[in-house]
Amino acid sequence: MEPQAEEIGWIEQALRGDQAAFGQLMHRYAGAVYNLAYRMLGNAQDAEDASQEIFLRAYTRLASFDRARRFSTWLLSIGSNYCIDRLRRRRFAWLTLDDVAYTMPSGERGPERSALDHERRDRVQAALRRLPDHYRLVLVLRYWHDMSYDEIAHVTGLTESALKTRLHRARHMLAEALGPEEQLLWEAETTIS
Amino acid sequence: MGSRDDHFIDDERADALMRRLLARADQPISAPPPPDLVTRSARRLPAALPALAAANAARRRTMRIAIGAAVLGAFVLVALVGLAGIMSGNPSLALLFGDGGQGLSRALLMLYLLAKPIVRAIGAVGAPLLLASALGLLAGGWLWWQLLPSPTYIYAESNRR
Repeated sequence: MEPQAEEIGWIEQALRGDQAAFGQLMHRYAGAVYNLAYRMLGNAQDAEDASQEIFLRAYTRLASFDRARRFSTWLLSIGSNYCIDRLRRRRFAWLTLDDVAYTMPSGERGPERSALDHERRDRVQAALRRLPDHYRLVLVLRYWHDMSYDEIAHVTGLTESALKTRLHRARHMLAEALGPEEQLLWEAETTIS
Repeated sequence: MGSRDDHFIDDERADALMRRLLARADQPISAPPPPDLVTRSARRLPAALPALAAANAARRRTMRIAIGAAVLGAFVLVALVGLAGIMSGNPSLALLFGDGGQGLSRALLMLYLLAKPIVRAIGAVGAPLLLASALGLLAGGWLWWQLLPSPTYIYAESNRR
């Protein structure tokens, strides 16, 4: 059976109350949803919470799913909106208890601190975090989700030309944020000929 | 951030170059989701059918807004009545609940007496200035809210369908 036809079948069953069918959809897209949240929010804990919330939202909005669209695009569109909203709310929580905990010295290296160190080592993740949310989103969808321009346009609600402009600027920003070497390479390659 | 390279490179080349830059850092790679993510997400799903769950969620949202508006309305009403009392020099709100000697009546009377010099001082500045400040504050707040989540460049380049 075609994956899309299979998904439509699961959606129909889920709409009739079969949560196991929705579970199949979650199994299929857990990686995609989690990765979107992880790249957008920047840490594993937030990504996990966000993934659960995204699936919950998808379930309650399932009746509004347009079968002419791809389920993945629809789901990631819910995910993108949720992550942007969450980042917006995060700006208001200027100093949370978590921030205080990070600044306090700790004698032992707990799993959270190790995870944090790992994140710090991830240069690309750190560079992504420095980009404005809407720019980070288009890069994540393009390069981590390998989506076409048309699909990204559907997810973000942008026209294709606006999307291309945003992607182009986002690439430039990311090259800058990655470091001087990458920036030089970018400058060299993009200004030749 | 206007990049000077925008006019020198086509989209396909920029795309390929970005992939090369990412590959140098061993990216893009997928972060593996926690193994129990689906199980935990499934536990959070409502027992109701999706359509019913959506209706329930909408009802809860409406209720929250209504309760919020009622609380705010009550607060504004009390504030306005109190303000009117102070302006008229008559603590009528406090006297609604007693003679001002004890309980709620006494608390309201105390607030009235505390607020009186402040309101008089503000009143001396002049009503037009007060109104202009309030409007300025509201406009500033609205603008801040609008600009903070989505910077201006987003509005400049996006053309939502």
